[in-house]
Amino acid sequence: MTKPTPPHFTPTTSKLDAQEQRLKQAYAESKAQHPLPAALKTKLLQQVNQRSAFPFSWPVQVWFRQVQFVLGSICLAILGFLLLQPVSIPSYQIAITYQNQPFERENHRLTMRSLPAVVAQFSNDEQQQRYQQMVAAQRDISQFHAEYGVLQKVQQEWQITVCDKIAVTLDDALLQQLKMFDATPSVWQTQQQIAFYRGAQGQLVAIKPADNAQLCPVS
Amino acid sequence: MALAFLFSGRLGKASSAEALLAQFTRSGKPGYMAQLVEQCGPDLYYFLVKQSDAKMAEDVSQQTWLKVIEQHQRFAGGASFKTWLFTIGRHTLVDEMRRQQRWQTIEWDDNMSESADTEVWQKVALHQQQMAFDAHLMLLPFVQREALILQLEGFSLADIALITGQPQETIKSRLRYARQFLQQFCGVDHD
Repeated sequence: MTKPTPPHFTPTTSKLDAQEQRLKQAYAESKAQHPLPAALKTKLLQQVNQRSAFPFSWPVQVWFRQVQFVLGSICLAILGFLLLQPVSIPSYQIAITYQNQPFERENHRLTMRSLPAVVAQFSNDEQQQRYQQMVAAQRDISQFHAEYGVLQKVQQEWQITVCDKIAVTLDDALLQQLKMFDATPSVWQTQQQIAFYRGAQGQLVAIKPADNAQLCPVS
Repeated sequence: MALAFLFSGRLGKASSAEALLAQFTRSGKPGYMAQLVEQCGPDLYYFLVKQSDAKMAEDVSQQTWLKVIEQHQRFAGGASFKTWLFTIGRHTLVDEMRRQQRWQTIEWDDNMSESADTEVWQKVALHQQQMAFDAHLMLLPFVQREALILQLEGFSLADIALITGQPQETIKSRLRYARQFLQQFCGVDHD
């Protein structure tokens, strides 16, 4: 059987309207034969009722979201505040002066820099490096060459005097950092015999009480 | 029915679908959604039943309305609520058909509109006198049938393109074929 050829014609406007009307009418009749089943409608309405009310009623859900938003904002604000809080980062400084050669005066101190916490987080290298040096120094303390001197407090400053050659002054912060042998400077003798050790850059890495008095060359 | 009466009695007269959805979003009262089901549920069901069968139409109807309830805040308002509803309904239907492995042949249908007409025309010729609109409609390929139903449902060309995710030119072409087919065999143009 061959395919029937659709007739070619030029329908008038009224004919087109009539066709459209018939099509719409046929569609409406067909639709009327397939209404939404009552059982399905009931299911849908029950579904609407259950789902809309579960797990909370709507205002509660909205309220819950708002509370979540507020709490989230507060947490962010606190975190931001903490990150912007200034923290102190110590930096080791040595100043060497020669007043009466060959007498040498060394001034060792820890200077505190104030940085926002978030910036300090990335500036800890120096501190970490020094800490690593101190740990290494502790481990290899016996391999260091010890220098002997007398530690005493001179005009609110701690000073190590090595014979009549060197006077090393150090501030309280540095002394605290050097508490490596559980020795509290406050209980030391007024003129404490000590041994001290230096790192590669000449910085002090350890101080400990010494049993033996320093031996100074007779000048 | 009782549920519907309960909802509509509390919330007053029906208004536009978009207004009902907005009120539902604001208040969360299920009555507004129930009115939407009353207004658009039968249209969607008819579309689905013509594109599948009664059982699948019921399943897909339920899934579609569930999505509407859960995702009602996603309605952007760019098109009408009914367009949005039918878009969700069609996607759900296609997904369900794919899941049941009934989609492959349907995609092929679109391409056979001219070349494979012969078989359809033969079938039609055999029953030409007895066939009603429904039966002819069911002889159309899926994509042509959906375009025609959506147009008769009152959707514009742009809406149909949106619902089906196809260019308007494709929709025009599908409508032309569908209408030619129906006019030929429903006797619409034999007046």
